[in-house]
Amino acid sequence: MAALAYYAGSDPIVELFYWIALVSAGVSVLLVFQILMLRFVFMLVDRHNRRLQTRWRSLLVSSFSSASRLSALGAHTARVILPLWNKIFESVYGEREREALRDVARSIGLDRFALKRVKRISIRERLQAIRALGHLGTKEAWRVIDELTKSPVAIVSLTAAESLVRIDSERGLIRLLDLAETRSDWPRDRLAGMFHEIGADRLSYALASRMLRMPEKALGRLMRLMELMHEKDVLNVIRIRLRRSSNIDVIAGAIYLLGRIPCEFSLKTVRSYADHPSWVVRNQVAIALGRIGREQDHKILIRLTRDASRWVRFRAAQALVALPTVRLDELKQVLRQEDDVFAREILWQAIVEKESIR
Amino acid sequence: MSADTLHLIEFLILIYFVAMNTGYLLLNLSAAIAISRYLDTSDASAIPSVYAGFELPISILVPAYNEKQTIVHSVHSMLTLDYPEFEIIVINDGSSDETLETLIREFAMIEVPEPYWKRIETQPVRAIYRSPKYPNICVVDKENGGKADALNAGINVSRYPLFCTVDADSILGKHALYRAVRPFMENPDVVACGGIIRAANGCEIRVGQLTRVGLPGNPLILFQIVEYLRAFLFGRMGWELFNSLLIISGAFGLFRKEVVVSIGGYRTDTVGEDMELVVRIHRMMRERKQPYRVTFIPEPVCWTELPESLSVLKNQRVRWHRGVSESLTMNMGLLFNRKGGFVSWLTFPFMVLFEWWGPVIEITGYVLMLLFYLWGMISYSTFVVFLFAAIALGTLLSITALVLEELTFNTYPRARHVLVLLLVAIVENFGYRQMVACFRLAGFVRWLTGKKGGWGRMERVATWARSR
Repeated sequence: MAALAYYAGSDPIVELFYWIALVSAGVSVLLVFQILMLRFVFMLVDRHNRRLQTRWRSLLVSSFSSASRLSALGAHTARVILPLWNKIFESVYGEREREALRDVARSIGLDRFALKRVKRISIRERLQAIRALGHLGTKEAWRVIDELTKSPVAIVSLTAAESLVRIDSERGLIRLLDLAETRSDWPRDRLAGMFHEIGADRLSYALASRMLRMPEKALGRLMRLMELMHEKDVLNVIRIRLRRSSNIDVIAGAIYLLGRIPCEFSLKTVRSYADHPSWVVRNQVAIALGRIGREQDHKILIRLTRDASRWVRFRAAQALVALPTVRLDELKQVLRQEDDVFAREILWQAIVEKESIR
Repeated sequence: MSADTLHLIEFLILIYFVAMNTGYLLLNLSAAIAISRYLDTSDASAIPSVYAGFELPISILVPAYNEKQTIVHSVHSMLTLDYPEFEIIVINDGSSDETLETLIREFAMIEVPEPYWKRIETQPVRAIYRSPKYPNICVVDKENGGKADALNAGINVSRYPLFCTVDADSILGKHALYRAVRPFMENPDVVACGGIIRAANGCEIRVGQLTRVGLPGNPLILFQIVEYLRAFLFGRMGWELFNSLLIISGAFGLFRKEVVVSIGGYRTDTVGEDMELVVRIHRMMRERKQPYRVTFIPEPVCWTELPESLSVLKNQRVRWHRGVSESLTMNMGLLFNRKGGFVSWLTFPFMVLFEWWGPVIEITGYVLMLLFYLWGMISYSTFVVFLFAAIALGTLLSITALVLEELTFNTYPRARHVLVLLLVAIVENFGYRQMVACFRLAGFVRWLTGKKGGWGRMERVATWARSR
C-alpha cells in the first residue's frame, strides 16, 4: 500500500485515484462495522422490547378482569408500550375492557407521555401519540390536536380529526365534517372507516344536513360515503340535491346509492336517467337496474346493450345476467331479433355466462 | 500517444468514475430520505382489519408464454391475495406447450364469446375463457406477439380502473395489492406505482405464499440478490423523491389504465416495454401538462425467481440493456426538455450517461488501462491504483445498499444472512460486476446492430412451485 502511495504520488491524477480508492475502502470498512453493530444493537433492542411487550401485553390484558396498581413508566418504557397499548385498545371492542385499558394508561402516565410526544418531528411517533390521546379521551389535548388537523400531511390531519371525534363526539363530529368537506387530499376509504366507527345513528343526520348545503364538487367527492347513512336520510338528500344538480359525479353517485336502496323512488329516478348524455351516468343506471330492476326494466337494459359506450353495453349485459327475472329463452329471443352487431355480441356473451352459472 | 493525451484520458476516466459514484451515493441519500418518509407514515397506513369498500378494484395481468410448469401455482397464489376486489387475467401468448390446456383443466374454464374491445392494437385474440367456479379468473388466448402485445391484450380485456402487471413466475406478498394501491387512494395524481422485487430462490413458499425468507447457496444468485438490493433500494427509491422514477419492473407494477390506454399502451417494438412505458408516461404527461406522479413503495411486494445459470443470466442482462437503450432512444424528446423538470434535466441525462452508456465507458476504461499497461505507457502501480479505485467504489455502493436495507426492512432476518450478504457485496466486485458490465455491453451492441429479440425466455427451475 505504501509503495502504491509512493508511485501514485508521482502523478496527480493517479494520486487522486489512489485517495478516492483509499477513502472509499475506508468508508466501506466503517460501514461494514456499522452494519454489524446495527444488527447487534437491533438484536439487543429487539429482544429487550419484545420482553417488555410480552410482560406488558399480559399486564394490559389482565387489567380487563382485575384492577392492577402500576407505577408511572419511564420515558423509554412508555415509548415501547404506547404502540402496544394502541394496538390492544383498537383490537378490543367491549367498553368495559376499553375503560380498564384507559385506567391503566392513566395510572402509568401514558396520557402525559402522549401529550408530550404529540409535537414530535417524527410523524410515526406523533401519530401514535394522537391515536392514544383520542382513545384516552384526553380533553386537555383538544387544542393541540385541533391544531394538527391543519397539518399539510393528510394522514396526520386525518388521524387528528379522528381523535377529536373520540375526545368529544359532538364537537369532534362537526369538526370532522368541516374538514371532510374541504380536505380533498383525504383518502375516501379512511374517511369511510371513520364514519363507520362513528356509526349511522350519530352520523346520518349530521352528514345529511351537511350534504344538503355542500358545494357540488365536495358533494360529488363524498357522495358514496352516504352509503354509511340511514336509507331515509340518503333518499332525502338525493331527492333534494338531484333536482338541481347537473354535476356528473353527483348524479352518478346518487344512482349508485339508489341501486342499493330498492324502492319505488329509486326505481323511478334510476329509470329517468337511462338516456342521460353522459356514459358514466348510463353506466351506473345499468348497474343499478341489475340490482333493483324489475321485469319492465328488461327493455331498458336491452336498449342499453346497444349503447355507444362499450362499458354501458357491458354493464347492461352483466345486469341481464344478474337479474333473476330475466329468463334465458327471453334473452335468446332478443338475440334472434337484434340487428345491432354490438348488442348481439354482448348479448351472446351474457347468454353463455348465464348458461354457465345455471 | 503523447503524455498529454494519456493524461487527458486518465483524467476523463477519473471524472467519469467520480461523477458516477458520487451520483449513486447522492441517490442513496435521497433514497434514505424517501424511505424514512414512507416508514414514518406507513405505520398509520397499516393493513386495516376491515376493508372500507372504497379500494379501487384491480385487474392483475399475467402474460404467459410456455409457462405450463408454473402458471397454475402462480394463479393459485394470486387467488390467496388479501384484497377486496380483483380479477386475474392470464394472457396465453400463443404458447407452444400446454399452458392453455393446463389452465382450462385446473380452473374449469369455459370459452365465452366475449367481444374483444381493441382499444390498443394487438395480435388477434383466439378466445376468451372465464370460469364459473372462479369468477375472477379470465384467460385470454391470443396469437403470439410478445410480452408487450400480451399485456396490451390484457389491458383490452380488463374490467377495472387499475391494472397490475405480474410475471408468471412471481409470487406476490399477501398484502401486495393493498400496499401498492395506497398511493392511488391517497393521491389522485398517481398514475403508476412499483414495488421492491426480491429473490424467491432460497425462500420457503407454501400454498402459494412466502413463509420463510432465506438465502440460496448458489453464489450467482447471491450476487444478484445484492444487485437487486442496490437497484431497488436506491436505484428506484432515490428517484421517487423527485417524481422522476423511470423504471417500474415488469415483474410488479400497478398502473392507472386510462392513462396507459391514452398513450397507446405498451410498445411492441422494444424488449424493454416496462421501462419504455414509464419513460413515455413521463414524456406524455409533461407534454400534456397534466399533473401526475410515478411512485414506488419501498416494501418487498413481489418475490421472483432469479436465473441460476450463467447463460440465462447473460440473456437476461443483454435483453435488459437493449431495453434500456430502446426506451431511452424512443423518448429522446424528454432529454433537456425545457418543461421536463427533474426527469429531463437530472434523471434522463443520468440514465443516458451512467446506465445506458455506463458499460461502454466502464469496459473501455478497463480495456484502455490494461492496454496502456501492456504497452508500457502506464506503470504497474498506476494500473493497480485504477483497479483498486474501481473495486473500492463498487464495494462502497453495495455496502451502502446493505446499510439502507439494515436500517429499514431487515428482510433477511438471521445474523448469518447479513454476514453472507456483506461478503458477497465485497466479492462481487472481483469479477461478477465486470462480467455483468460485459453482458450489458453486449446488449448495447445488440441494440446498435438492431438485432431483434423475442420473449427473452428464461429457463424456469420453479423450485418454489415444487415446494408448494
